[in-house]
Amino acid sequence: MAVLRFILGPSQPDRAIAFEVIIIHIVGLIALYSIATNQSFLIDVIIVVSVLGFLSTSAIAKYIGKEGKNP
Amino acid sequence: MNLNDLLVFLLALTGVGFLGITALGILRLPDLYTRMHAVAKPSTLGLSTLILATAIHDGHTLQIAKMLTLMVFFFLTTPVTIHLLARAAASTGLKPLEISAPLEAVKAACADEPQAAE
Repeated sequence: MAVLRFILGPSQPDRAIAFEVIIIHIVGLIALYSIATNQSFLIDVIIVVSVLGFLSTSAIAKYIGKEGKNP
Repeated sequence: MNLNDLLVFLLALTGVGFLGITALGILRLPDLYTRMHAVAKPSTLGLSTLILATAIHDGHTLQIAKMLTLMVFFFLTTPVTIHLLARAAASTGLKPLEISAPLEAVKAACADEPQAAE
């Protein structure tokens, strides 16, 4: 559903939010997979993916704001 | 069934439910700001419960410490991210959705009421 919003979102911030939601769902899926298969090294993967998601979404937000100031 | 497994199952079910609410909200709500509202809070709670379920299931002290650190990280970063996105969207000149019509109706009803009492 978030991918659908990512594809058809009317503006650029909509796509940024959809990207955030996709990252959150990926983190949740990795957590569920690590529960289901007893693989505890996936916890480190969760940490790295969440930090990457936070940094990339902040960068996208900064880019969108700058674009609004200089059209 | 062990009590630990039951707790893990309930927490994971709560997390998946809240993430589903997030996906539904981002698809169905009409405006960018309401979509942000739908993303920020359920995703924080859902991911926190999922991570708590992973920590309880794993059981080692180091992994539990990592998971609690990650939960604090999520509670700090998700509102910051959504706030940054909202500020960026407001700086591009996007207006919130107008809900003036129901407000006018409420004001008219409130203005009518004392006259009807007199």
